[in-house]
Parts: sequence; structure tokens; C-alpha cells
Amino acid sequence: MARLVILGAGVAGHTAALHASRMLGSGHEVIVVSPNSNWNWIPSNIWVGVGKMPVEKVIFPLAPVYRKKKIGFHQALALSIHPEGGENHQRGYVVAKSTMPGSEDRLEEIEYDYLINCTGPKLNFGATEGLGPDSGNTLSVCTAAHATETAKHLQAAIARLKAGESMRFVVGTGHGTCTCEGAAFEYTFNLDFALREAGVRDKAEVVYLTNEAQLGDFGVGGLIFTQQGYQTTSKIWTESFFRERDIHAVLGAHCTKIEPGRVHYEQLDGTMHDLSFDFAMLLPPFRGADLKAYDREGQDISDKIFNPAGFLKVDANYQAGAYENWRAADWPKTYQSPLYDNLFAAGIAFAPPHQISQPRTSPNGTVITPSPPRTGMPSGMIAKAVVETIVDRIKGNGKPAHEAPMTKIGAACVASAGMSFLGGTAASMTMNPIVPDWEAYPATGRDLKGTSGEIGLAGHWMKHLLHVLFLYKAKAHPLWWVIPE
Amino acid sequence: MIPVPAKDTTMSIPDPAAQQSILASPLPTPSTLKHRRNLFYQLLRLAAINIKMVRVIATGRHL
Repeated sequence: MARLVILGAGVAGHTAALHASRMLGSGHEVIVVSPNSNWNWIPSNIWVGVGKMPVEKVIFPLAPVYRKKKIGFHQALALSIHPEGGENHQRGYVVAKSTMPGSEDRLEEIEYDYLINCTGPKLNFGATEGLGPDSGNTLSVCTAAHATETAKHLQAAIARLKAGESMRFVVGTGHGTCTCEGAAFEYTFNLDFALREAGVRDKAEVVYLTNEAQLGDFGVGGLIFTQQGYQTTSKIWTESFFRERDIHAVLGAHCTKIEPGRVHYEQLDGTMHDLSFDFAMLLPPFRGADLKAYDREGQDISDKIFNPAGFLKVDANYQAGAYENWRAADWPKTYQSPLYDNLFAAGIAFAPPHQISQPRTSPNGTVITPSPPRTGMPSGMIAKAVVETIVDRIKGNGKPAHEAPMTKIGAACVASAGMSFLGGTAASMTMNPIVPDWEAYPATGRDLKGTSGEIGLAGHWMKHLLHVLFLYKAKAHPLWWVIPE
Repeated sequence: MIPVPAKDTTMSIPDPAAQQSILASPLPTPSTLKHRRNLFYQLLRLAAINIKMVRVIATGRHL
């Protein structure tokens, strides 16, 4: 009997756990270690954050699902990995600290035969002074609780606007190395939509403050796609949407400090600015989870297993160097640790070889470049491929490892721009592959047949359909596995 | 709800170069905006978006 341990229960971890349980059947053990008791469909946090959806619609408790699928669940925060085992452990093991009410801080040692690190991001609000809702001066939609709090602030702001005040809303990225620009874009346009619905848009200035050097970059270096017989760019397409909705933008910005009602930032040309605000929702940069790693003798080997940002190093080329040298082949295929063949990472937890967008630094040496997005669809696809590799090995199939390189797999991204069944809008994008491959597609970086963008009500219906389908899948209802990642 | 153009309440344009680029981009015509909300047309687009997504999933299927 083999034991697979999965750290984290987000999109990657939960997908991995459900597929592993289905593919392995009885006779083997699947264990999930996650500090959270609930699963959260994070893409819909945007709607919670503008008060359009109650928080109960985006979360559900994990324990009943895992009980139903016979998956072991330890509600605990993983602290360290011991891939070589140790005293009293012949196999690798994980040390985790319980987060269960009533047994907080109790340490557990969980042995494994295979380990998948799906710990997702640590929301690094501390990277910018004054960033974040807990000890800073800005709001967030990164968690369901943050989004609920943000919705309350928005309702208060709308009341002030209705009373005749004029206000500035700043939405975007709170650091030069943030990822998830798509989420900031969504919140910007949902905010605009909510203000129009409330009849107060003429009293509000909406500013999108981003680390992208140009609109439409989205951390993937932008897109080229065809529209009505022309090749166009996501830059022109996105700028047009900003013009239509009268939203201002600040580009290439790294927030240096946020005081109550004022954000200080540096731009790519090295100039320093500040901007007053009445309401600010700024996303944090991500770090890897605070996991340590130790060898059999107890020596700290964290710097061998993880990169400096705390993401697990896998089968990528981390020596690519300058932008001119970047190749599609730099990106990982199997997501297996080069040091331990029973250790994998999926989702945000794996260390990318470099950014996707062109790296940029201000004259002051500040890096202002989006980090590569690897949430949502690629997270799920990578997790499934990793599970298939592990299942093959457990069953002794002798097959080569399954591959899901982001230079081969595509992604669909539906960015909401207003939630209403008849009046809503979304920007629907597909890209294939996610990471441009300039050798395979020298003119456009991606396959034009699989890369597209369009705006309309249908996108909103699609976004809502995805919300329903993915919650159904995550709850492991009948035939859940038919729904693709 | 059909969005109405917002009045310009700009306190000061925070990034004039970005704003210049935005203002140089194409503005959708009233006909395009109508199409984006036309229920029949959008039902067809929903089908089209689904087909595009299925194609991306199928061609990008991992090995």
C-alpha cells in the first residue's frame, strides 16, 4: 500500500486529491494537509468583493467531501519536508502544525511515499509598507474574508458618493512583482459596473494601477489574436475597453509605500509619484509557503529544494539568464523535483524558470515586471498530470512521466466586467499555449487558431457557468471528473 | 442595464502617457455595443466561446 500526501487544498491540491482517489481506488492512501477548513472558488471572490454574491456561494467545507471520497484530511499547516526520512522514519515525512480548533499547534509527522506540494501562495502583503487589509491601508479580494470586507467598504463608499462626494478608486497591483493582473482587471471593471448601477459613476474616478508595462500584458506578455479579419493585440483591445468605460491607468508602477489615503509608487522611468485615494484594492505579490526542508541528518536543505522566493524547484531550466536567451524548453514538463523523484509541485507552488512578460527594471534598479500566472486552469491540468505520473508509478505501469508544460497547454480566461444575467459583460480570452513559443510560432508566439479575445454578455454567462461547474466538480458530485480542468 | 458614458471627473490624470495611449485606441461603435448585449447574438457567441475553449482543452491536453 502506497501513501500519497498532498500539501494544500486549493485548485491544484484539491484537483490532485480527487483524481488520485479516483485513479488509485482502495488499497492506497491519499492524504491532504491543508490549514484551511474550507475550499474557496477564488475567481468568484471578485463578485463577493463588489457585493454581488454572498460569501457562502464561493466556499464549502472540505471535510465532508474528503470523507465521501475516503481521502484523509489533516487540517494543519505544513512546516517542513524531510524527503530522506529521519530518526524513527524510514520514508520521507512532513511535519505539520494543526489548525483544528481545540488542538491548535499540535505537531504531526506524516510519512509519505509520494508528495505533491500544492501549497499555493503566501500573500506577501509585507513586501510593501502599508499594503493589505489586516495591518495596512488597502483592501483585497484574495480570500473570501478579504472580499467580504471589501464589499462592506464599497457599500460605504457608494453611500458617500450618493451623498454628493467625489471619490477616487485605485485598483491594481501593490508591488512591482505581483501576478494575477487579470484579477485586478476584473475588480476594476466590476467596480465600474457597480458604480454605474448605483448611478454614481459620474462622481467617481477609477484608476487601474499596475506593474504591467502596457495594458493587456496580463503577466503573459500580452496576446496577438485575430478579430474581424485583422491581427490585433491585447494592448489595443484592452485600451479600447478602458476608453469605453472611462477608466484611467497608471502603468509600470511599483508601490513603495501606502499611507492612509495615499499610495506612493515608482514608475519604470525611475520617477516617483504619489496618488491620493478614497478606496484602494491592491493585490499583494506572492511568495512560496514558509516551508523548510531537511535531510536525514537534520541539515537544512531548503535552498536546494526551493528557490529564494520559496517555490519548489522542478524540472525547469533555471539557468536561462537574459531575456534574449529564454526558450520554451526552459519551462518544466513533469514538475518533478530534480533531487527527489517522489517529490512534485503543482500550481503556484512550483518555481517558474523566469517571467513570461519581458523583464523590466527602472533606472533605480527596481524590478517592475509581472510574475508568471499559474493559477486556475493550468494549476488543475498540471496537478492532474502529476497525479497520473504518480499513479503509474504506484501501479508499476512503467510508463514515462506525464507532461503538462505551459508551453504546450492552453488556457481559457474569462475576466468578468460586470455581473448581471442580462446586462453583464466579460472579456473572454483563450491562449494556446500559455507561454509563448517563438520557435514554433515565430510571428505571434502562439497558435492563432487557439488564441482569441472577445467582449460581451456571453462571456458573463460563461463565467457564471464556470462558477457552477467548478463548484460542482470540487464537491465531487456524480461524474465530477467529466468536467475538464 | 446599459452603461452610460461617465462624465469626466478627473482630478488630475495620474499617468498622461498611458491616458494618451488609451484615448488613441478604437472606441466600439453603437452597433458593436448593441451586439454585445443582443440576447440571440450572444447565445451564438456563447456557443462559439465554448467551442474555442473545447479546442484549447483538446489541443493542449497533457501528454
